Amino acid sequence: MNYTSIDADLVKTMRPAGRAYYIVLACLAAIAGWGAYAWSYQIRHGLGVAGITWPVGWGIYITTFVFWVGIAHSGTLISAVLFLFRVRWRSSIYRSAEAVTILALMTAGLFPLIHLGRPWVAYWLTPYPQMGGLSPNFRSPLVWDVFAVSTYLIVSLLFFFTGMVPDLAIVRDRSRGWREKVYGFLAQGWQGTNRQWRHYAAAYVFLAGLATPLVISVHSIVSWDFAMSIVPGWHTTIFPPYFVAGAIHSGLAMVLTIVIPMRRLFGLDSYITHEHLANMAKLMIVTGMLLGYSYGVEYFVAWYSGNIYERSVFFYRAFGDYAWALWLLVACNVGSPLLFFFSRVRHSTPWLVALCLLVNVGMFFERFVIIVTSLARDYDPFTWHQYAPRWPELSILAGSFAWFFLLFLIFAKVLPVVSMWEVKESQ
Amino acid sequence: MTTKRRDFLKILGIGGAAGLTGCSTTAPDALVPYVTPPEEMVRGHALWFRSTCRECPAGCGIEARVREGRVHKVEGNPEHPVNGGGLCARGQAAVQGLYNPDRLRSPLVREGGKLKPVSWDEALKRVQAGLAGKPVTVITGSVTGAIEELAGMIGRRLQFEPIDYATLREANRICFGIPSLPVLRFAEVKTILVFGTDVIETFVSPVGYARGIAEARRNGARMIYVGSRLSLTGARADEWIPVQPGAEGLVIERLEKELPAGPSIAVTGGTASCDQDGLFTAIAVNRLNAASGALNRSVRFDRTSALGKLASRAQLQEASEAVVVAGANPAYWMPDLFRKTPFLVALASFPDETTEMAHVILPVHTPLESWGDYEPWTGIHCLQQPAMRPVFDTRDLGDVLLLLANHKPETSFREFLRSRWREPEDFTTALQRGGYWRDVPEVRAALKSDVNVAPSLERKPYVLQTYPSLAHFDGRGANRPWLQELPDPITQAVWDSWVELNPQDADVHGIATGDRVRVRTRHGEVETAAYVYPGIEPGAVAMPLGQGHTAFGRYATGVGVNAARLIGENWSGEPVEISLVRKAHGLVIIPGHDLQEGRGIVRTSPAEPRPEISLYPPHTHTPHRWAMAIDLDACNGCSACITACYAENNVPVTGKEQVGRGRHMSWIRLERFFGPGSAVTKPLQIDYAPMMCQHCDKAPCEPVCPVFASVHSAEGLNAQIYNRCVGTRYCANNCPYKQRRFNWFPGEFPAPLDWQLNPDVTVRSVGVMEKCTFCVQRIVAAKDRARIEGRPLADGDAVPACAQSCPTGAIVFGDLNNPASRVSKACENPRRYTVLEELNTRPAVRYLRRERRT
Repeated sequence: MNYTSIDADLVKTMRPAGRAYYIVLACLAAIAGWGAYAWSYQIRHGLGVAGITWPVGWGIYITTFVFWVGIAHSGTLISAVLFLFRVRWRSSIYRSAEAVTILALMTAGLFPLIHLGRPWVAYWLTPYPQMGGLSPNFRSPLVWDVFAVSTYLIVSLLFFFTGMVPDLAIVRDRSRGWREKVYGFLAQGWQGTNRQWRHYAAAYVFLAGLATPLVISVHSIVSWDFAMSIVPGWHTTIFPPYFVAGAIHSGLAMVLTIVIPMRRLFGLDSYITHEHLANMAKLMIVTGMLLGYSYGVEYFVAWYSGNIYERSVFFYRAFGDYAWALWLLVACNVGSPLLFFFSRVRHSTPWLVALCLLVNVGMFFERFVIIVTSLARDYDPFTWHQYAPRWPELSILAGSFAWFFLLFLIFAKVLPVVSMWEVKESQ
Repeated sequence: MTTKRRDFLKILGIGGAAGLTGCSTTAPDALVPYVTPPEEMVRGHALWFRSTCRECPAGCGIEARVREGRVHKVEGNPEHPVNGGGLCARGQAAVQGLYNPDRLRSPLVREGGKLKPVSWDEALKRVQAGLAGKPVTVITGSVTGAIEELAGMIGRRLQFEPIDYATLREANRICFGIPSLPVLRFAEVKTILVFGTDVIETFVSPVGYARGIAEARRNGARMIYVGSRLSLTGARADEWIPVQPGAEGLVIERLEKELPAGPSIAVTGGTASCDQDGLFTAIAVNRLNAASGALNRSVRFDRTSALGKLASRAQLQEASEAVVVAGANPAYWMPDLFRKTPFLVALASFPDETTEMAHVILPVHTPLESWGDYEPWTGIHCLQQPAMRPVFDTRDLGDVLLLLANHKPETSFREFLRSRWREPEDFTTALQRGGYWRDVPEVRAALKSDVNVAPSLERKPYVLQTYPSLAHFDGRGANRPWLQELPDPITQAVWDSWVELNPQDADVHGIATGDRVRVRTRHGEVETAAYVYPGIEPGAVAMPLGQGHTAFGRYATGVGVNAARLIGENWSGEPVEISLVRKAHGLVIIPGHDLQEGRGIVRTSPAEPRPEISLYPPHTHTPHRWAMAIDLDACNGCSACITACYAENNVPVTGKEQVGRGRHMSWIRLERFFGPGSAVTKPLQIDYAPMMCQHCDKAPCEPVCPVFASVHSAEGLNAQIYNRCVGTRYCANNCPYKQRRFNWFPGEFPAPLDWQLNPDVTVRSVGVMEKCTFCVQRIVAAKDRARIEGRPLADGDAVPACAQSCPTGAIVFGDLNNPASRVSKACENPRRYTVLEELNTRPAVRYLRRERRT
């Protein structure tokens, strides 16, 4: 492998796509379109067409929001945190991981809007200047959310773009016509001079340092949406670390779910090796066990507090209407990553994909269980009521997955999916 | 202060009487804002017209609030001897009768089986031709005075009320020689014995009786309920003695021996008096009252009920060639009654089972548009006046009867009514008060010595008990969406009918709540949803009446089943077979759990008071600190407050499906809990607490709102800014009392129901949160009134709709900053507690715990 072949191999992914690509793209667009229709239907007729109700005012929409924000975590972890720790295996994966971060945030960001009663006035959550002097309530965790998620998106975009500049220059040099102009603009006049590299390296470390605390803060703040309330099952101090661990867990799973088929399709086996994948799997053992510990502590505290409301909610989670979801998530999130202790499992792509899909499912239900069971059983027994999603929620959920993969497919064809300069650097 | 308000009302009353003289019966061509308003009308100011509620025969006094010529709300007349200011849910819903979108809008004539709209002249010509020279029967509801006289001028008059208390009247005739119903004075007694009667729900004069019972409770009375079904009255009692259906009379002897010293009263009626042993029970109760000294003291015959004049079913069935039905719906009860009638004229406001059979239908005013008089009790002469111009091209019932009677001297019913006014006070003054209450000579009833009826002691394996529904009474309230959406306080079911079964009996048939069940008697069979609970004795099968209309507008037709199809003369005691049709979740019940799980929501035992701890300085409230105290010992679960709130605050009705999904919009939730341990040990106890927004001082909903739509006012109100709300629902999630309601859909008020909307209250748009405001519009109005009159706001000036309507005065509202206010006093009561006190939310709604006296 020399520098030229690396360039050739990796730019190959950007060659014009075949028919299969467009068919998949069209299918995804159709599903995403159906989700958009469901949302428009919901706006036209009122939020009541969805299954969310009283007292479960948050359901699939907020679950999906937290799910996608969680997915967004692995990107920054892999690109920034592992960069600072000089972990070399990250170089072939991090571009895709960062793309997952940004695209997941672009998906997640839709859900607070979708779940609003009046989405057309969503901008009231931002502190824009207006004559009435009205301001958002900075005591509300939802306003913190707006800032946390938008900050994360902006920093992630900057980091993503900065990391890509040398690669974009390579693409520019290999393109002709309007493509050359576009990539030339994006490459920002990159010549690969010594001076440019010196500044570039400093800026990259700086951005990595800026992005690293966000890995912790974003999901901590998302968890405060719940922890700052007084709802039993939500109001607990363990939520920030617990949510961050869960987010990284789900993010790693999603990156693996995407990278494994991608490396196959683009023939990147020699760049994204089994060793890289196995390292990610090892990380998932850690996050999975962290989650298992958090689940245990939640139950212990509920019992140890002697608080009847807490106890009742946790009893309900384990044995009530949604008990199947709880046991499913424990098995998926804590049980399945334990199989990664076996080297054979870690090094087998079918096993990796299967277990990562399970973790994705488990992480979705984790948020579902936290949100729904707590609201379904809070203080006043006369208000206890169950929740079941209806077609608009399920359509929008499916649409969100389609939207995410649609964006990723486009990304894979228009931007280099593996960082060429870092692969070269790590050679 | 009150005098001043009274004066104000009097002036309005005079204005109203004068202004309405020119009432015409034609509908306006176009609705345009007043350019030159009538003299007494000031835009933005409410006019109040006193009248009489005709939603049941109780004859409660009402005040209709009119803004810009439209009635928005009906409240109880505080000066009225029957109800004293309270008004039940059905009375509150009278406005939905007035503005019902299914009202008859023009005269209809049946031609070839189909109804054809015709002009009034044409219709009246046909009626006069049809009635000429034939023996005519006029069937009315319970009426007295002018309408009764007019009915007599037209032909043989019969008064039909499905709930006719025939057994009680018969028992009183046998025992005392008085075939009517006595006044029951609960207020002064120490022991109240109820034998299967639904005193609080629908019995004779429920608002007045509920008020009396609450007063007796305040004086320390104990209440015992004997019956086979735990009705709302049973839930109200300190003790429920469950008996086999129809066996109420058999425990009287035992209870008589155990009766504590002090004045007592015994009441029977309802299911206990409607089966084959009803007469035995009623007579035994009369004897008990005579023996205990209650007769002539708390059971008094000096005023007797207008219901003494009701016709029997046999009288109704005597065929007549021409029948005029005026303001009654006998065909709902006896579908075959008019099958052979050659000429049937229906004077009705709504299409119903009787108009379905009528040859000519003449649309008449609803009571809120009509003149009239009614004497529910001897000497309580109530007057009825129109509160607004007619909504549709309808005519006053009295005017139509005048025409049919060919009575010339007076041209209008109003003049006729006035000419028949014989009371010593002048008509206009009486009209302003709501009527004239005349003193009556004392009548001392004496028990006849030779009274003896033996019980049949015949017991059947399963017997049916039907009872008039709290919301729909005998069915006449079924077309009011507020009443359909009002959860039945016992079952919490809405928009349906059901059959109540004991868990033992249900197990035998493999039936669970919500399953479709076939109920069959020798009279017929129906298929409905089951409700399984331990508040009914094994062997008893209970069904509410009033649903299952075949023609009663969009809100009633096809909703539930008509239990009247299953019964004959006796409403209770009919042998019945039940069988499972299929497993289902057919019954829409307000979501909720039956047990409190030790959380002390509705307390019957003292609560440990907790110190108020906070790191932050307390809020200061100036100049007022609004608060509410709800006495759970006075609250009986009648749900009047819920309907009052719908009327005052433009709360939308969502319909059966959405209620089942938890989208019930009511701002007040009547929490119903089965008492501690009563699911396993007998007998069942039920406790109620009306719960609305608690207006917490440290409200969990406030900090979480991202846009400051939920804010604390300087006067302690937790305000919701509808037009700022973006609809995150975070506040609702964080409300431990779950009192916030989200507009899942745009509220629907099909015309002309939208005329009822209170102009002082915003109609909320889709996607925003709403909740109880403590009727802030009424607080503001009270402040304005005080300011205009140049005086400080007095206690009792600001009254939310729920507190105003409460028949028992259980809800007290006022200013905590005023130590002399009633609410401040109530908050010092040792029974005081707040719900979920440990959360330190510091609610402004304080509850006074219920007492179960032994």
